Amino acid sequence: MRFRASLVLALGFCPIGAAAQPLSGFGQAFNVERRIYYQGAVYQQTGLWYGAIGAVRLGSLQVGVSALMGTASGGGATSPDIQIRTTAVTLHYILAPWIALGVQAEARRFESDAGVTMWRLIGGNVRLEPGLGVAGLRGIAEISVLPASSVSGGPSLQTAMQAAIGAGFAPSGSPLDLRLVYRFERYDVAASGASPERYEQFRGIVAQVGIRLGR
Amino acid sequence: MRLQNALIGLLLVAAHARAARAQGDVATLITAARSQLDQFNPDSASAYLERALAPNSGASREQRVRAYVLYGIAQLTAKNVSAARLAFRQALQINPGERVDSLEFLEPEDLLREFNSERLAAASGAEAAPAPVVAAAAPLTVQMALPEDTILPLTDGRLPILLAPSRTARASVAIAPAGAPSVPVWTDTLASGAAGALGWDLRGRDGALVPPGRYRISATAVDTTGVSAPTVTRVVVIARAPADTQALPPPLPRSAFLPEFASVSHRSASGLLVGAGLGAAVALLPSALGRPELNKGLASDGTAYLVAGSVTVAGVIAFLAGGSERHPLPENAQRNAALREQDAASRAAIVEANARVKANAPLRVRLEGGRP
Repeated sequence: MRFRASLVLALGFCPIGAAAQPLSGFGQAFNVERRIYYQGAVYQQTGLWYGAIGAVRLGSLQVGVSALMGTASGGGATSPDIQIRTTAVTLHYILAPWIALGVQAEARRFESDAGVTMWRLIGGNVRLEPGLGVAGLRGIAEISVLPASSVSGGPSLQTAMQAAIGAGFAPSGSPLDLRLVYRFERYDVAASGASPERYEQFRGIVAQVGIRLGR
Repeated sequence: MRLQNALIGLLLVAAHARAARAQGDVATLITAARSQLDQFNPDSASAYLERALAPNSGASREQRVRAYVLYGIAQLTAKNVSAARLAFRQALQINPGERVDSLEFLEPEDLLREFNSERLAAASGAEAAPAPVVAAAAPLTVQMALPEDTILPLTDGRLPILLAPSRTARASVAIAPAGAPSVPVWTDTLASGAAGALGWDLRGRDGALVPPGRYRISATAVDTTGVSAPTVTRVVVIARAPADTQALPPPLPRSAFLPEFASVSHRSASGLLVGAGLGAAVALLPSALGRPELNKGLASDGTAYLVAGSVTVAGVIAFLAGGSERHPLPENAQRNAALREQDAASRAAIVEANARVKANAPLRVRLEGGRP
C-alpha cells in the first residue's frame, strides 16, 4: 500500500515539470529468458515483455517511471506459465551529464494458476551514459542493488540485483533516441519454513525506442 | 436645225462662263501679286504673275497688259533690268497707249524712265520683243543630301541635312520614326529663298536623345504662292557605336585563397575503450552476476554476445568517425575576405566604367541604301 502511494506520488510529479523540463518517453520490448533453480533443478522459461518508460527532469533531479508486462512460459509441469507485471519508480540525482545516482522502488507481480505473488524491490541505482566520441552515440550501463527487497507475505530476497549494459544513439537535431541493452537480473529468495532457497534470474535483450524533448 | 442652234448656244454660254471664271482667277493672281509688291516681295509677286501670264491662264487682253507691267516692276525691284524692259515691251505691244504713272510709287527710281524708254523704242519701230519673257512656271522641287554613314558624339553632335529647293521657296524637314511617320520628333525650316543645311541634334521634342532605330527624314518646300514641292524622303538608321569596354577578369582561382580551416586529428581512444569495455562487460555479465547453479551446464546466452558485439562496434565506429575536426583559421579567413572584397570592388568598378562608356558611346547614323 505504501509502495502504491509512493508510485502515485511520483507520477503526480511528472506533469509539474513536463512543460518546462526535459522530458523523455520510450517504448520497450524485453526478450526475456527466466531461469529458476529450485531443489537442485533448473527450470527455464521464455517470453516477450512490452512496456514503457517515462522520465522528467527537474533541475538536477530526474523522476522516472517504467512498466513491463508479459508472460514467461515453457518451464514444464513443475514451472507453470506466469503473467508478470512489473512497475518501477526511480529518482535520480544527476551528478554530470553522464552519471546519475538514485533510488529505485519496484513492484513485480507474478500471476499463475497457483495464485498471485508480489515482490517489492527497493534499493539504489547508478546509471552511466559515457559518450563514445561521436555526437549522439553513447554507452549505457545501469546497475541496481536492491537490498530492501522481499516477497510480499513471504521471505526476503537475500540478493536482488539488476544490470543493463548497452549503447544508445540520439541523432543530433532529432528528438529520436534509440537504445539497445542487455539486461540481467538476479534474485536469491531465502529459505522459508519447509521451502528451501530458490534462485531466479532474468536476462535478455531490451530494445527501446523513444523521444527526448527539451534537451 | 433649231436643236443645233440651241446646242451651239449652250456651248458658247459654257465657254463664256469658263473664260469668265478663268479671268476671275487671273484677277485674283494679279491682286495677290500687287499685294506682294506692296510688301516688297518681288519674288513672290513674280511667281503669281508667271501663273497669270501662263498661256492657258485665260487672261484677258487688259489683264495680260496689267500682268506684264507688274512683272516688269517686280523685275526692276529685283534689279533685273533687261527682264523688266522685255516685260514692258510686251505690255506696250498689246496696248501702245499704256501708262504707268499711277504705279510710280512702287519703283520711283527707274520705272518711268525704263517704261518710257521702251515706249520710245516701240514707237520708233525698234525690233519687236523676242519670245515672251514669261515662260510657264517651272515645277518646284527640293533636293536633300545626307551623309551616308557618320558617327556623331552625344553632345553637340548634329546630323547635317542639306536642302536645295529648285527655286525661291521655304524648305523644311521633318523627322519621325519609320514606324510612326505621322509623329515627328523634330522639324525645322530654312529661311525663305535660302538653301543650306539644317542640323539635327538627334534629340526629340523633349530634348532627350532619340532611341536607336530607323527614322524617316522628309523634306519639302513651299513657295510664297503656296505651291509645294513633292516630298523627298530618306531613311536613316541610328545605332550606338561600339563602345570600348573592359573585359571582366576571370573568377579568382581556388589557389588564390588560403585555407580557412585546419583539420586536426580528433580520434580519441577513450570512446573505443569505453565501447570495448562495455562490450566485455555485457559478455561477462551473465557469469559475473549469475549464480553458478543457474548457468552451469546450460548454453551461454547468445543475446549477450550480440549486444556485446554491437556496443564494441559502436565504439569502433565512434573512433573512426571522430577522426578529424576542423578548426577555423581566422587570419586566413580575414585575408580571404579582404581578397574577395578587393575582387568584388574591382569588378564593380569595371562594370560601372563599362556602363558609363556605353552610355556615352557616340551614335552612328547610316543612310539606308547607302554604304553598308
